Amino acid sequence: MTRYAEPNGKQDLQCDCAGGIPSPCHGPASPALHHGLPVPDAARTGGLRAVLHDQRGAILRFLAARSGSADLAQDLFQELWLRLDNADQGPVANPVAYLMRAANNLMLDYRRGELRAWARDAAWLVSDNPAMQAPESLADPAPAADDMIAARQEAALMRRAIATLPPGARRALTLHRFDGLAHAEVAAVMGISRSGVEKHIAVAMKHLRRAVMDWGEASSTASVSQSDMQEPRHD
Amino acid sequence: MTDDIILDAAAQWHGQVTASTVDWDAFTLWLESDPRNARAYDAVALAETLLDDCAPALAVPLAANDDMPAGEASAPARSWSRLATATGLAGLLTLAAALVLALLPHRPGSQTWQTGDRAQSLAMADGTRIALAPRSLLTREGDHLTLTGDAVFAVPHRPDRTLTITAGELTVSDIGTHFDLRNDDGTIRLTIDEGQVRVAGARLARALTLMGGQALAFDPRTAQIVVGPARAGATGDWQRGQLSYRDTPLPLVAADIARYGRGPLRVDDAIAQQHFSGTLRLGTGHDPAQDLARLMALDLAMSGHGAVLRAAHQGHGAGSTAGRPSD
Repeated sequence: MTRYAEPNGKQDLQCDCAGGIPSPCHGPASPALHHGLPVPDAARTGGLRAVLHDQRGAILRFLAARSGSADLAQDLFQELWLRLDNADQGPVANPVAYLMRAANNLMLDYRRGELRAWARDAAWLVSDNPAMQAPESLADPAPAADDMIAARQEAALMRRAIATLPPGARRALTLHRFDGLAHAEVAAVMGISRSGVEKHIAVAMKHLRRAVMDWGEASSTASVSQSDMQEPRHD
Repeated sequence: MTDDIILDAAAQWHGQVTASTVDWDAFTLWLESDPRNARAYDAVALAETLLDDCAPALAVPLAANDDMPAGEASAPARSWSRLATATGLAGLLTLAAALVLALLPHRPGSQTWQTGDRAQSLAMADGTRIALAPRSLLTREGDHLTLTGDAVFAVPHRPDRTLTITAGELTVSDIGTHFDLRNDDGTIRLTIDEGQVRVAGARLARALTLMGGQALAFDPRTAQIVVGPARAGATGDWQRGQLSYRDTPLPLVAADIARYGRGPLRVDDAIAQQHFSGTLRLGTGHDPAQDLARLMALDLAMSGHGAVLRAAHQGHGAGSTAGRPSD
């Protein structure tokens, strides 16, 4: 059975875990893995791990629906367990919502990683923009440089997507998201109404979401074929 | 299209997740109802994240068409020039090319940006944004900027960095704010929109701290500094196609008109002490010099090096010291 809601169902979620995995429990960690499944130890009864264990079915179901794969859902659940272990945390108002949110963020990180791996391998992107061929970044295999390349590739993808926006939508989006102007200010600069600005931005966002969805298709296909290639061959 | 409907629904779910109002049970059911839903949700959430994370890198090539591959640049460039005609000067100003001041602390040497008829927007890697007005000059050495002309700054406050801007005799520092700084031959005007800055100068008895809503004027001939309330919306008003004044000496108004209007404008010595209050419009169909002359009942005459404002000879009476916005 699935039970996502808080028992009293009324508490607001207080935590802010935008940056990935939040940190719910106090005390030293001793992960107890049992048949690959986390089991809460006595010291943590009532903590987030207990909730995670209790909500295992619901969270796995959510992750399977989010990822489209039961195996990936299991992996992400383990990851979630491990991260809770390393985290140092304060009290959480709504632990179930907190964990769902953390699971959701993990999934997003995973997709972003796929996208990055795909973008990094896509030669057409590198040749597209000379600025991205900075020799120091290509020569240095350190993780920081790797991140930098990934960030540039992501920026290159976004740049291409934004370049194909209708001019009005692109301008409104640029002024609003990159120049930090409020809708009213964008309206003044562009000489159009506020609702016109909102329409432009809605068009831009729709366009960008479609683009990201296309990349998502391409990148998940690419990662599947890549893992196929890594299968050991027995001759 | 089906994809659009799914993406719209995904955007709504994303909004609820972001606002922490989502019903996770219902969200799971929605995801299970169609395998495309999860993909759409990924796209919506990642588009937001990528837009935010890539903003510093993207701010540049977006506005600078010449940075794009040739095939992509031509069409937007055409539409942009159409747009510029349609929206007049305000449009032109923001259509100016953008540059990145790569904030590399260890790189020696200086950089210079000089604008002609058009404004230029600059984005630093640390998030600082600068709109450099037409006919202005900005140089940068490390964390130190020097300005001649007019620029609007939006600077995120960072305690680990000491950005300073020199304009004439004054130095602005301790910046975490949005403000407009003008330097016309040493006459400094500073309007703080938000936050606060510290202003120092060799001939100032002590450093001043100015807060949002305050404005400062410095006269280099007398070393007098005047601090008063800022006009609402005065910061970067040129970006919105207008110039607003309250009790501002005519030569300063003329300097602005020369910068944003149609070229050099001088003020005859006999009326140099007069002040102007009001708003002048810029852009297509507006000649701010003529509007100013009309508002203050002055003569606008052409001379070898541009226009001159002087007292009216006959029939107009004495020049008024205050104008009103004309529409």
